[in-house]
Amino acid sequence: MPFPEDMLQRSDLTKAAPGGVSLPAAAGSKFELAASLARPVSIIESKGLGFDQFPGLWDWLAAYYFNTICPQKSNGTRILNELARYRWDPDYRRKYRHRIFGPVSLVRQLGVHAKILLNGQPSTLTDWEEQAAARYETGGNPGIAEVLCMLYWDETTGRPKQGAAPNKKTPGTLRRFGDIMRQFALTYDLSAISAQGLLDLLPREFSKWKPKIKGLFSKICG
Amino acid sequence: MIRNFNYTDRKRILRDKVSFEWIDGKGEDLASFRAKIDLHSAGLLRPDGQVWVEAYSGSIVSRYYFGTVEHPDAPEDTRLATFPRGLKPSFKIKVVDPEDPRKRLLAFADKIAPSEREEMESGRQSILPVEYVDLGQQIWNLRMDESLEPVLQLNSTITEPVGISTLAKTPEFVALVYPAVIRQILSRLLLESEDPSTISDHNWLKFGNSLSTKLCPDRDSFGDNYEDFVRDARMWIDEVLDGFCRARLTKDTYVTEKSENHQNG
Repeated sequence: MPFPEDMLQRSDLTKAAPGGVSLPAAAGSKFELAASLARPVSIIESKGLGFDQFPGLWDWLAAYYFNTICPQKSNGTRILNELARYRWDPDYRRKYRHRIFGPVSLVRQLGVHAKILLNGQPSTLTDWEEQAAARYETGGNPGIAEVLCMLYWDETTGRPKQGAAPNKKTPGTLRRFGDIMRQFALTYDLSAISAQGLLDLLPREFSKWKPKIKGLFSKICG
Repeated sequence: MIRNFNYTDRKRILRDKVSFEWIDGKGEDLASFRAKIDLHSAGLLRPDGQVWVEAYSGSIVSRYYFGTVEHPDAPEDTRLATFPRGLKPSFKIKVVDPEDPRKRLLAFADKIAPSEREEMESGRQSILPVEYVDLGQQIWNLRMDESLEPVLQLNSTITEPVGISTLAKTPEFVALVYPAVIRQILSRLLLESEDPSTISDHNWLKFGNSLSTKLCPDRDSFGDNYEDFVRDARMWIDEVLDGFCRARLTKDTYVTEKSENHQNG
């Protein structure tokens, strides 16, 4: 079923956001789409759009990019997931699932290191977002996002490393990382520790994922 | 449930010894806050401990340096520039060891909601604010964000036979809704909070203690026995509800109202 795009301009359903921004075309990956929307959203916010009006903005953007966040299959049908992915839900346990708000918020907070949390297509909600982005300690901390990239990002493939995010709490993997950060948040000021400092704090189970020291010193340090 | 061990002897800053006044931005101005922090409640802290305040909502965080334990110094600029206009963040306070490269926490308080000036001056603060929103076919909903401060949402579209704000004051509504609301709040605080020790002085737990014959169970005292803690927490919540209903005579007033309505046809 085609999306009723005419409703995006209806005056009885919509209102112009301040700032007069133009929107980017739908981009390939979730990170690319979110990164391209971060600046327009910042402009709208700087022009005074109130907090109570932002749900409408996120929902309008979800409608505008609906074919991207809920694509049609070859047979014309769509797989419609939970409503929170397309309609703003103020509950803090669900609002990050909104396929526009969640990724854009992460890019605005974490910058380029959000790429590891936003791997995949705009329509997907991966474990990276569920396990890491849903938590303040990880979703709001650029240092932690940088550590995630240092541990689990594969530059050669441009994707997270294989096996980094299994469904269970395998030692050293993403879910264990989330558990460790939650405990660390009660003991250390995570906002003030550098990415390297956080990396050094991690227990031995994360050793196999840590970046290897290259060159002469690798022989000395093993 | 994650077990939390306070090996580093992090001290707790009591939440009733701190206050955050919300200062609304007028016109184009940004909202800001004013904080009063009494660190004596945390016990003896090293005088050069660094005091940081964080405002947060979801993944949005702003940090403000408030000097040291010995020489507190509130920053001039406490504007909440990174938050959308109208959004009230929650606050946490951290006292950090200045010599530890790991930035060890010496004292901590979390999930502090800001108060309006009128609430602070009167000394009274509503522990269950109400907001009116379109809830579709739901009559009411309980909203609790990551600060674990509850807000009762009532359906703004209910205007017949009377408005929802009037309906919410009736004995029927009090009897049928408020016990469920209280149970949800206390369950979320005790059984779903990541670290109940950070909320042990939460206003709702104090409210519960005033209605129960026993004090709220202390998670730390149960050590590894999480199941025992859950059992005791649930029993305590049941006692709180019983205390609430007995204090309000919810059944009697409900039956009386229904009988009168029935007689009046």
